[in-house]
Amino acid sequence: MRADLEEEFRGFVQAAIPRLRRVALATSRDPHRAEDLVQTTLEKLYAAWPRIHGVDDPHAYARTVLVRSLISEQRRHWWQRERSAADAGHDVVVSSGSDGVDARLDLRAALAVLPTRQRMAVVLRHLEDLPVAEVARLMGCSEGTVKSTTSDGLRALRAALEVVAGQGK
Amino acid sequence: MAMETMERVPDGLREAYAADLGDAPYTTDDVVAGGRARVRRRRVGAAGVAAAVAALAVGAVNLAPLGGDRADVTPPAATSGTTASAAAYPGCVDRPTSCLDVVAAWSRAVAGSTARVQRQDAAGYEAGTVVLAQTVSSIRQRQDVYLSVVIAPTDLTAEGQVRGPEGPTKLMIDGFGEPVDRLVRVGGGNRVETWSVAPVKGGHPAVEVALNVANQGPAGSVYDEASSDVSAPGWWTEDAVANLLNRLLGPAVVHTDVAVGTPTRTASTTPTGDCSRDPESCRAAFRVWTDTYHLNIGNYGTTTDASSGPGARLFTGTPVDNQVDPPPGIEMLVGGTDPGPQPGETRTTVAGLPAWTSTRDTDVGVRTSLRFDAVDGKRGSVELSVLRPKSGPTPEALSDAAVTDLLRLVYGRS
Repeated sequence: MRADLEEEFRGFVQAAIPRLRRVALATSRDPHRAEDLVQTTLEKLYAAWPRIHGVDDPHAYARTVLVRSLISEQRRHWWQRERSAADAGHDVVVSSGSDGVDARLDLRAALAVLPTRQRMAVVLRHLEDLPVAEVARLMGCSEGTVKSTTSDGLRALRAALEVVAGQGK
Repeated sequence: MAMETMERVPDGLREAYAADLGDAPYTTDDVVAGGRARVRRRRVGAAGVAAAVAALAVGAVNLAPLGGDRADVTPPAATSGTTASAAAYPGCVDRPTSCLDVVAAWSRAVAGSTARVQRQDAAGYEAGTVVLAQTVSSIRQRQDVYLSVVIAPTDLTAEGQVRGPEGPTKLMIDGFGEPVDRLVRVGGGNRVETWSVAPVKGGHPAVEVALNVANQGPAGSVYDEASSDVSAPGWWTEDAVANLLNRLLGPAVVHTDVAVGTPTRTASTTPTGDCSRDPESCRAAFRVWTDTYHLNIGNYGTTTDASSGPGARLFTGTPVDNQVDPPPGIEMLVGGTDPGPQPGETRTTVAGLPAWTSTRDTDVGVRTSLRFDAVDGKRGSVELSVLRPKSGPTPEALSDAAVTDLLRLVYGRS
């Protein structure tokens, strides 16, 4: 890659990492896998940078690669996604209380128990603020499916939050 | 959790993820180094793999595929729309790009579609995965029909993103000699009908064929959520599915008399060179090895493992002769930097070579790993691991002979 393009890519990476990490952490239950996902996404982007560096919104391209990488990973056999027993507790964060930290833990715990596609739809719609059509394109399904999946996800999230809150009492 | 937060989940989500995440465990330099390695591998590309495979073949390694010569992948005749004889179609999964032709010919014959079959954007898919998608029929203002075909790896797990599941149902269909999982999901104006075939012993990787019928409603109208109106098109029959599966997979080859660690073929595993500097040729070596020892290579993948340094490749396979649920897994990590002794590892000797062994619990079983240090300080380390599921039969360990042969293939002559 030309030096000027690589410099431009480095600037993009610095700006993109925080946002991509948030999406990855929200859509993948495993924080270690989420970090791998972001790194893999950016490596793929490096290879494609000479082709895409001029697009209006390279972050959208990065987000697409990240989501599809996650979907691809979900397609793998479950034993390729096994988690060490030592790490198993990472996505079972239950707490109670009313301060901001506890609320965040509750939300993450509730989000972690959603099926992957529901979690993905909720995050893309409400964290990334993407329109239905864009989420449908990213997830490879129809807009109707996105609407129903998001609705189901929010409903399940609320139910899970009630359970989490109940456990903490 | 405060009630107001529960009622305003979207706002709560934003607040939760606005929290400081701390520093990323990698730097921009790491990303650029990984990207450069990816570009190098891409340049090696198909030519490199072909050369590596050819070199292995020249080195007296028998690369003839199981189940006969699959090189001659013949798309079905345009006039044929009925159940096919399995023997007539050798399958296309060994040469995935030829599956495009198979699907195109099938849809012309069965669905009367002239739409172009194209491979989806593969940016997010690891090597070994082929996703085909085609609009097999599109009637404006009424119904859109999409056919997608996924050829290994696929977890065959339908998620409940659509309401009203019917199934999954395992059934035998005429003209296809293996049990097939059928799942119908309806909701949100969609009907998704999925037919999945799990990997078969020694035969072929997993295949998933999905038909998505979307009731889009008249153009410009409010989206029609009435899913009850959606039904599969008339040409989507069990015969049609059997026909497609046969053409994609070819005849299954089932072996029942072979144990893991026992060579099942006359292939020689004569070493041909050091592949640890060229991960793509290591993939070919691993494939030869798994063929020889009768391990299903259908679901292997590659990844960059941060803990083993840039360029590390992970190969996985499922021993098919101890096919249990959950199946044991075998992984080979090669080409990375030597990480040195790791916590929990103990010294041992396998196949005459010093190695490190460790055992760890996972959520699905116990994984025992065997790691060989980099040789001569210049070659990448090799790690093999076997997963023993918490339930089901315990798989046999890999024999010393199998390990030795793999090391020869990876490191070449010593």
